[in-house]
Amino acid sequence: MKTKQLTTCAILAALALALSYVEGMFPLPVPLPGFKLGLANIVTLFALYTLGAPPALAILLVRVLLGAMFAGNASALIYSLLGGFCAMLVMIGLSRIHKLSVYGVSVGGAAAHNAGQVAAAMLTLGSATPAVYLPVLLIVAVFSGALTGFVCSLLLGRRLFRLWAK
Amino acid sequence: MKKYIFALFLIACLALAGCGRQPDGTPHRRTVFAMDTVMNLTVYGGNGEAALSAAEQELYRLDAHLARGTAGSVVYALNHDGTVIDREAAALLRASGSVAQASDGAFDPTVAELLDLWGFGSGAGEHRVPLPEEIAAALAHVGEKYVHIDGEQVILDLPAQVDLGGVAKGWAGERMFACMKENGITGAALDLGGDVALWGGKLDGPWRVAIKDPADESAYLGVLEAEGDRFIMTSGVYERYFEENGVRYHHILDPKTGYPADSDLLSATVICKDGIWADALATACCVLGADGALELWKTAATEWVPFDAILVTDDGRVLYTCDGFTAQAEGYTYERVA
Amino acid sequence: MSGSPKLVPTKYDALVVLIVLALAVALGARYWFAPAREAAEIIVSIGGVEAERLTFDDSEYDYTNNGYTVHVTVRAGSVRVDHADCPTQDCVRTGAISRPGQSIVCLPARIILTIEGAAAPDYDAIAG
Repeated sequence: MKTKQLTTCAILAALALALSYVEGMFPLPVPLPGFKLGLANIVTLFALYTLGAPPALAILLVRVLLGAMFAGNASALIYSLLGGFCAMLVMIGLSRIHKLSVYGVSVGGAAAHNAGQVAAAMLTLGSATPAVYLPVLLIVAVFSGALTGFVCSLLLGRRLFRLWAK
Repeated sequence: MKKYIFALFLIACLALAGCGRQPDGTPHRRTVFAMDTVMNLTVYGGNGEAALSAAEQELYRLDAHLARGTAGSVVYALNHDGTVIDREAAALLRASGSVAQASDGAFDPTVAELLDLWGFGSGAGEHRVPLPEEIAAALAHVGEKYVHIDGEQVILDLPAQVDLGGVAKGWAGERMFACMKENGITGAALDLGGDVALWGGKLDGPWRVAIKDPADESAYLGVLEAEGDRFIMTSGVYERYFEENGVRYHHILDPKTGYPADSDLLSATVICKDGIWADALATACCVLGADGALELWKTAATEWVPFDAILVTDDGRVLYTCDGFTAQAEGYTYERVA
Repeated sequence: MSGSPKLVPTKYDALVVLIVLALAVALGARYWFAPAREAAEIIVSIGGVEAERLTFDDSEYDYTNNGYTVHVTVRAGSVRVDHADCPTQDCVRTGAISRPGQSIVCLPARIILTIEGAAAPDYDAIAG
């Protein structure tokens, strides 16, 4: 990996970490502690388009591990791990469909992110009860995905970033 | 080489994530069966398990020490011998006497015999409506004036009989907090069979206690928010009762008439910093009725021990004296009393 | 993977949104017609420790502890203790419970049946 790419990754990882910390302060739409809206996916999506899937995955991994370490509890790890990777997989898949804009990809990613978190909740609680929140969370995902997409479009629209990343 | 370093890094992250500083927000819980009811204890911070074990042991000790029906208890001894020397019993009876005075006899620790007559006592009594002569005979021995306390000695004018059931849970809460504090806890929420004792705090906000709706066991009147140390004790006519010939007789007896209190209250929840007073006052309020309870609330604030109350009347009103109470049920008129 | 993605929403994005919403409605409908019951569970606690979690499928269970046996019946979304050999029979007299938060207690047997809803309770304790 080139040094420039490495530093870019590091900066993006730090940014993702900061975002996931900040979004933890949002009031939760559901009584599932540890749930996150997925704003850190802005970074994941941005990295995916500018750097490619492997670096984006690496950034995600670093963000998830360090985030859990700083939070100090294992459930945060499972939530962001499942949420982040589900989002990642869906976004990699959707980004290959060139007819979709960043908005479509990010909404799909947000939906997968929330579904992953519900799955994590079901695992940690050992019961199927968190699944009731999926409908609500999917609707929320449309909005958080739109927001993520919007921010990404701003970032990606700036020629500066595009040139720099290439 | 790089792969091993990365693997090590991964493991370190996972390990640190897993056993990171346990935030005080993670509670330890335990269910204990004591004092003829189910108790759910929750503690935050410190050495949770040790605190719970200490509290559990203290609970069993108190049950054995204060239960009227248990042969080795001080109350048993007092009721049979007419005298006993015990610091705890003396303190509890002294406090009970104060509540009796403050409430003008609405609460009285000497109702033991009456309770037995109705079948609400500690023995396996049968539920029945006693004859007026039986009640009159028992009433002759009811009155906190039959209890004399001198230091740690208690003298009871037999055949009056004492029962500490009306203050036992409040006292148990206080004692359990003391034991738990020795284990460094930062907060505790104890559900003592429907009576709640709170101490300290937890990280994600003030304590929230739901108050049961007397008319519907699964519904709540509202949620009370409180900080720090509080005892939230409820007495309700729905808790224990029996029916005979279509009439319902509940367990909150009026010490002056010997019959179930004929007041307009279905339940009274008392919020107080003193456990014994909270427990006893809840009973007293139910006997006094809404107006009497509110009178007591006013005088207690300056002359006795201040408390707040949430009273549910039989005509669909919920009267409450404190802030932090959010109404939740439909079908009730909520009135804040200033 | 690095490409220049479209930065303006297209009608295919609307398709993605529609699919997500359709999923939400489908799952919502499933839970609407089989309400909280489906997600709620019955916790059986013996001696103060959680022993088993039951679902609301019609079934009958027997639990023995402390020398007493309780016979539990789950039917049509509610649970009750049909009969027990404890002296007080409070558990039998409680009747059927069906909503989260409600519980049946058999003190002599130290067996508690509690209905737990999908949501975590919004309070620390219940007074009353």
